[in-house]
Amino acid sequence: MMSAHSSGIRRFFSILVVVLLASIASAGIVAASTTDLRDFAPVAFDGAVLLPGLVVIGALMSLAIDDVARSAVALVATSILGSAIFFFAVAAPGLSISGVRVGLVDRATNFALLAFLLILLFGLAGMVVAWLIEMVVRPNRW
Amino acid sequence: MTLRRSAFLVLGVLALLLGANLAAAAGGFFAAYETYDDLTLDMPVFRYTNPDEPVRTELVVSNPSNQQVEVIEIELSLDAGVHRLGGGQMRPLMRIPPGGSMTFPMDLRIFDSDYVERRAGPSPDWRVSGRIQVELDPQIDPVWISFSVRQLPE
Repeated sequence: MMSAHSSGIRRFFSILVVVLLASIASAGIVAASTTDLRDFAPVAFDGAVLLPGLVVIGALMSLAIDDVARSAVALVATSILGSAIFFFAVAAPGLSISGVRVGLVDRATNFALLAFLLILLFGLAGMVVAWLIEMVVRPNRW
Repeated sequence: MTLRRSAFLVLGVLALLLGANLAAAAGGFFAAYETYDDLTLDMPVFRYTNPDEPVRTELVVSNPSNQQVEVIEIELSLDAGVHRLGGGQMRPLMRIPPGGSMTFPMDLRIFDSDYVERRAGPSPDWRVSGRIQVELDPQIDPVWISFSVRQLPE
């Protein structure tokens, strides 16, 4: 009983780490391939990399969690956290410089909402890719 | 299990690389806005003589930041009350070094000298509004900074 409990806690924290890693990666790829932050990134990507990149991150997240229901919840959490990280990256100058506060917070809100939808929708496509990979690698599970 | 661990590992490497890239981009973005905010604009000279002569102005741009700033374009509009009566623009394409300042003399043409003569009186309530386009780095899009100055009648 105790072992099942500690195993559950371990599983919860491993999912938490996966969500954190996927959020950082998603926010990073959105920032490196969209306006505003792309110009300042040491490595900038073309816009065409954004969507396949989010699919890959979604697939890796789903494979790392290895459970459909938990992956779905983790994807929603990743979308919220990833878009929040992106929001603060864009809005940060506005929080200390009053002259651009309204403009930048407004801009960051719009782009973060877009980032939320992109991470969620293309992460979902990544989950489907992960299931297909599982079907090939571990056909006995299906 | 191997597939799960491999995915976790690849995700960790991606998060590390993309996270470092994001942190550098966010830092650069923040520093750029601080530099733009540090720029100070001053108009020590505003000389209006009569409606048929251009208004002589001098715009001083100071850069107290530790980054070089290039002034690409300056646009000024000359208003009296709510009426736009003239203006001027220039493309200096000059770099202001860190801690330096530069003076840009500009003559603002009065487009509607009849109005100034008939309605505005001998010392109109002039307002100069404008914007200045500056660039920090050729790889970064230049930005426009807007400003306005009111010249009280002497």
